[in-house]
Amino acid sequence: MTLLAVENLSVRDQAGKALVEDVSFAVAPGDRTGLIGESGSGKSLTALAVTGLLPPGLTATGEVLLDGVDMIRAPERRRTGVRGRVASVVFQEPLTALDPLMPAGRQIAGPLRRFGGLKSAALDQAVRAALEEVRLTDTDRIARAYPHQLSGGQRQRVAIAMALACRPRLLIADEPTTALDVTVQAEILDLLDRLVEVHGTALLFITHDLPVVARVARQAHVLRAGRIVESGPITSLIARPANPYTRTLVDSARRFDAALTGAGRPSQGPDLEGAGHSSHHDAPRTDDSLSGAPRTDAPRTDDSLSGAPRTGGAPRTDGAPRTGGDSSVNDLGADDPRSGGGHFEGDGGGGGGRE
Amino acid sequence: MVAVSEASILEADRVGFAYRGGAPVLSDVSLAVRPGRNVALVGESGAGKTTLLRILLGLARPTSGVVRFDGSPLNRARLRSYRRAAQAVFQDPYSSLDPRQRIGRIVAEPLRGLGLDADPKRVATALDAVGLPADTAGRYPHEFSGGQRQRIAIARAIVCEPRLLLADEPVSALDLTTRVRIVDLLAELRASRGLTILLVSHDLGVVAELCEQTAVLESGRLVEQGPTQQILGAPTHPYTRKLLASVPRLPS
Repeated sequence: MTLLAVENLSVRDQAGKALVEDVSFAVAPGDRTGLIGESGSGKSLTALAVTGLLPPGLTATGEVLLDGVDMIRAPERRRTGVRGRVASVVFQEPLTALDPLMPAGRQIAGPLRRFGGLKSAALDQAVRAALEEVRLTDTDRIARAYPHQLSGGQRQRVAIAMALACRPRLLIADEPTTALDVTVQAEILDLLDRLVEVHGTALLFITHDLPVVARVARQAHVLRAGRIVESGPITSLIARPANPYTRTLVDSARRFDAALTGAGRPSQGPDLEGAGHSSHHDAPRTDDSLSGAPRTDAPRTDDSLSGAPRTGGAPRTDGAPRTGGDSSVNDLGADDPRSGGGHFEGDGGGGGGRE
Repeated sequence: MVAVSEASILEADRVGFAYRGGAPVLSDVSLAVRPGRNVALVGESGAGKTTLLRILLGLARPTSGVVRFDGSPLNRARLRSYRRAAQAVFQDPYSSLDPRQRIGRIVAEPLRGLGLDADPKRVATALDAVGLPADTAGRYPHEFSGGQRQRIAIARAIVCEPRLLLADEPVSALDLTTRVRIVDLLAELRASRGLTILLVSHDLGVVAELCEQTAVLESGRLVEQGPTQQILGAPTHPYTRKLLASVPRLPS
């Protein structure tokens, strides 16, 4: 049986504008599913709708069945019973997800007491075990510490411990590593990877970051402006993106990835002017900037893969996304800059920023 | 080690910084920015990147060591000429633009501050250089998306035609596809205006794209610096290696 079934989910704001439109996907027990999208793509709203936690003013239509419970129409009491027990969420910013006035240990104890019915010594023991599970060593100190006394990585570990404390069958992780340093991110990804493996927890991983999602997910859905534009195994999405938007995303990620690879190659130094003109995927972009020639003339590293238009100074053409906020010359001239932004009234965020 | 060179636009020579009674935030940092060679300052939270940038911008004074601009120490008297030569772009384009001012006024701010002629033509030129139409000048920041705002912040930084751009995580708050376009823009400005960039970033992919030199800061010390190719290709310091190994990569 599917653990989570989302059918034709739409989320609208008060003005009736669709922020998520006709989204369908399913997560079976033990699945690892990625929802990929940039700001304004509706990925976080989808997560909130799945858990029945949409902010006031937004309405969901369609169907969301989480362990058989209708998360759109069921009474709040039934939906509360599902949260934490069936599905729990780890958010991007652990500083806002944790209660600043409560020590970490008590925050982890909350769900254990509530869903596990644990008390006193058994509860203390369970809290310690939960902290150890997320590889926090100094458990006594951490349990007594307030969130501001912990580092970002420690906070996110506490948030994960809380989310996993009651052994949910689905863990929803909404950009759980975006606010973290890259070394901490690697540790947290390893941790999530291991924990969902050990407990057979299904994972719904929401991110804008392709390499990150490739690290933890198997299946993925690409969201753009509230709609799923492409779905499939994450490796084939990256290797053979079919949708133009997915291709732009992959190209963008590949460019920085290729720059990293290229930087390590001694033969392609920045002083070799012609190096960029071989059309290998991983030719370093640094080359053409030094040659003094405008970048528009130089072949883009991944053109051969994508056929996608160059951006930068050149006018943008159709394949490029509107989401994510930055419009270049031509379409700006053509319409109001607002429309390029992917601003969603509902999420209070802006176009280019991360959610 | 960076050799003291007359050719450097900007140079930190054994710079240290500590808050009163506190542990040092920066120790013995030496770094030089030469014309035409972009420098990346890489490190994680708490490494001291922002403190170093504040010192290099002349916004904070080092507790030891010296900052040189065009070869001589940067002091109050030279701050104005330094400001003409070096401008800054910050991470968050939502907090770096005054929401109550029109873009034209925001972009002209360095001209006014430096007592230069705040000619609307110069504003228009700067907006054009960052790929925004001239009518942008009459609008307010809230009308723009994150990437567009960062273009505005860059227009403000280049309006007085500086030689050096100090950019603190200029693309970190942007979506991936937007990030590519802003990196392209910076590379283009560098080619067309002879701008040199000091880029503070934790994103090694962006560093590899934009900078010839890389300096790695860990807990207030420069643990490794040199050509980006060498630092990213054959890192010698364990911290640099860890940093590189942590970067999530696309499956090949």
